[in-house]
Amino acid sequence: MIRFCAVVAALALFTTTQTARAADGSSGCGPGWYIFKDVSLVSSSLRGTTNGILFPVTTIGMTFGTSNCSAHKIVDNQGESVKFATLAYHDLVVQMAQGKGEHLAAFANTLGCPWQTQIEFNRTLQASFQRIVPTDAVAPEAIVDQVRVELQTQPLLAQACSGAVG
Amino acid sequence: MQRRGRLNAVLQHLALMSLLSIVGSADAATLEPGGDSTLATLAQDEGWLALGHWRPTLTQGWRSDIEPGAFFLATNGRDSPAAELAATLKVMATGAPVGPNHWPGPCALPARATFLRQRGWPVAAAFCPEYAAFRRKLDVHSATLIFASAYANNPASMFGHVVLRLNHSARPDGQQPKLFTEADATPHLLDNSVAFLAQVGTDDDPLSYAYKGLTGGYPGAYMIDPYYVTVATYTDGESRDLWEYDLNLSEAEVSLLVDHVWEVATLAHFPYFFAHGNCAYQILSIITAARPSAHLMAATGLVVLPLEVARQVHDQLGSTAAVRWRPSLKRQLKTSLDRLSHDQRRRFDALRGDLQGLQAEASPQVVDALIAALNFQKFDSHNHLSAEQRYAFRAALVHRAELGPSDDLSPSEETPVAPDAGHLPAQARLGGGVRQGQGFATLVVKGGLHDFLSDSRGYESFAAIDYLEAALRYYDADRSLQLDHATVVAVNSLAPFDLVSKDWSWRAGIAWQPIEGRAYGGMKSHQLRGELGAGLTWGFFANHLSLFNLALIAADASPGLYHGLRLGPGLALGIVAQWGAYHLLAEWTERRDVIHGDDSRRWSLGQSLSFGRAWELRADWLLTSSRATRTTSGAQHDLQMTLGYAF
Repeated sequence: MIRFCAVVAALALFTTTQTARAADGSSGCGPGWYIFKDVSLVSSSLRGTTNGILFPVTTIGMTFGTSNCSAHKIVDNQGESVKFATLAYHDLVVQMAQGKGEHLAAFANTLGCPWQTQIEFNRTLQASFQRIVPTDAVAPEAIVDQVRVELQTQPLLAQACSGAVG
Repeated sequence: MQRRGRLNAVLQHLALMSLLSIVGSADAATLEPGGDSTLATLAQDEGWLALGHWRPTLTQGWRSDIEPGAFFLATNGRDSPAAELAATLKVMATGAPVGPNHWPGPCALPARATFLRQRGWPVAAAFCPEYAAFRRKLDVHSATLIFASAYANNPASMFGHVVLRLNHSARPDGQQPKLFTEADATPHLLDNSVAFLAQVGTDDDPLSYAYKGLTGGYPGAYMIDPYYVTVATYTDGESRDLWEYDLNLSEAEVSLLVDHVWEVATLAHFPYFFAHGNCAYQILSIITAARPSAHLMAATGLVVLPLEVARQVHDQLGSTAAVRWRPSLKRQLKTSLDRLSHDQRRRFDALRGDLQGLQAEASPQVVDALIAALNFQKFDSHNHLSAEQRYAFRAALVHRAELGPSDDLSPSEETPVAPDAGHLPAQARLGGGVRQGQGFATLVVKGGLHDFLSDSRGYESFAAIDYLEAALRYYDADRSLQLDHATVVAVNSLAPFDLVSKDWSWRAGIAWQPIEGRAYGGMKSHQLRGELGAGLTWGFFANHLSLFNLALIAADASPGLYHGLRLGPGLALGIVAQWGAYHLLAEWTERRDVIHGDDSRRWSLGQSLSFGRAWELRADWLLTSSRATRTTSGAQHDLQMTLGYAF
């Protein structure tokens, strides 16, 4: 693996410089904020901008919490469903409309829905898409709340999904 | 037996404590409480060295990659595995607090505790709520190495990026969801990933960024995120494919790995070096802690390439499970478009221009393609869609939901060649040729990585990056050995401009070459050339063939030139073709020297045929001509054939 150091320096100069701010105004912790975050000079391969949302306590003082999101309420207070809906927002909304996808399956998992109910889960969310996502900028918490409402309307899911009641 | 074991442990503990109290931090070799292991040999144990990230120094000593701080319990722990071992034994035996959080030693350093416990050393019982919560939250069953491949328009990313995924245990019911496709059967999005990332200041200018990156000016840290964050960051945000390589680690090794992640994440501080102490190197380090006998670090050199690390880990620790591919958003869009029939494509194009026909569109595939296109546009523009585009996206999603389930929503695309199956980075080529009627033998050696005549399988097709290439020639006629050229770095990004990729093509390079001939007044000299270019590329035949057009600016510096400098604009037109193992690159370049008013032209044609991932046969033809005002104009033919071997 003997390679050349300087080439990396040279290439660093060639990497693209882009700045951006999410249209939803989330410079911090909005839906999928980390994807649209400022990326001056480097790709995510190098940047330590993501945060360790999984940690059980925020007082550990780890080096993970490097972003605005470390102070956001989803870090320590909200459940997995809202975390997922916040951080995987864009893929989740698209797959809800399509009625299928890996993100939808993961979302069902966070709501405690067993895999045997996945088809029904997908169909329910697709059929109620306009109620769950009534505009193009819905708060993730509102999405999860409405999903729970929709699950309650389906006897199978209301019974099977342990997270159907918030 | 149990009583005897407990008695032994107590005796060992007492012996250790008495010795420690006598010798303090004396050389560990003197601390021998009995039993099979001695401290001296234990301090040289590859497992211990891996847990401390110690590497041998040129002076026969040791130095850890981890900076001095809470990670080391001995004051000279960074440079002395033995002293650190002695200090660790004391902390483990007493459960003394460690680090800024004052957690008991076995809680703060659980991997070290396991290492010592397995070798019969006493480890105090400790109450570890934070560590227990960490283990419970991660609930790790296995590990997978994730490789992020290159993304368009940035050949620097061809080096790749690696992340480690810590996979959750199987669901409590022992069932894996079998839903629609194989991809759905692997619910890995809720797993967690470990990455080693630099804390880069976003306000740094390019020069300070490069300087700090090369000299360890940025702090690095292990970060843990849900895998769906990693997936979105790379497949959506940067449109990079992810490759998932399962690791064949035992349950005990996985447990040690997780414990070590806890240790380094909470206590260790690292500098981040772009070339060496980078993401790949540090991920390799923590895998080594789990399986030191694999000696993964032995192969690391001055620069550690993520691509090479992925290949190495897969070769040495890879499971027999198939490598999984997670296509980027861009590739998903391309697949969605490729699956449309001619008529569907026509309707899709119409909807792109005018949404009026959306309500009448009954094909989920067409609407899915529209959603994929707008979704890609959203990420590509960093969420800066126009009001019309946002309205269109919303309308497409609502209409898609109204259409209901579709049987074939998941685009099925042939999995491309995995990066680890691509050619190795360095190459040596041996051959011969003719220049102006003179025969020569040639040896070309390059440090890496990939040019347009290299086998593109496993690589990004339209990105090329070459560095440290030197070509030697031996001319038979005058029995002279000459350096034909030396490339410092040459980067080309020729992503075709289309609906999916509206990217500029670009080029940058620095090379050194001798100059001789009538264009330079018959002088023998040398020049350093820097070149920048920007333009567009168009792809044809499913991008097997592309045409590019670049506007150039080039500067040559040479003592053999009048005023020592040549500077001016230029133009390059070319063709890149890639069909399986066959590759072709043809280029015409015209340059104008505004200082002297000279013109120069260059025609080149290169063809190659690859055999496996190591061997390659290459033929290059080159014609250069110049029209000079102060010197004599001339032309030069060059033809050579080489056999290359990648290593």
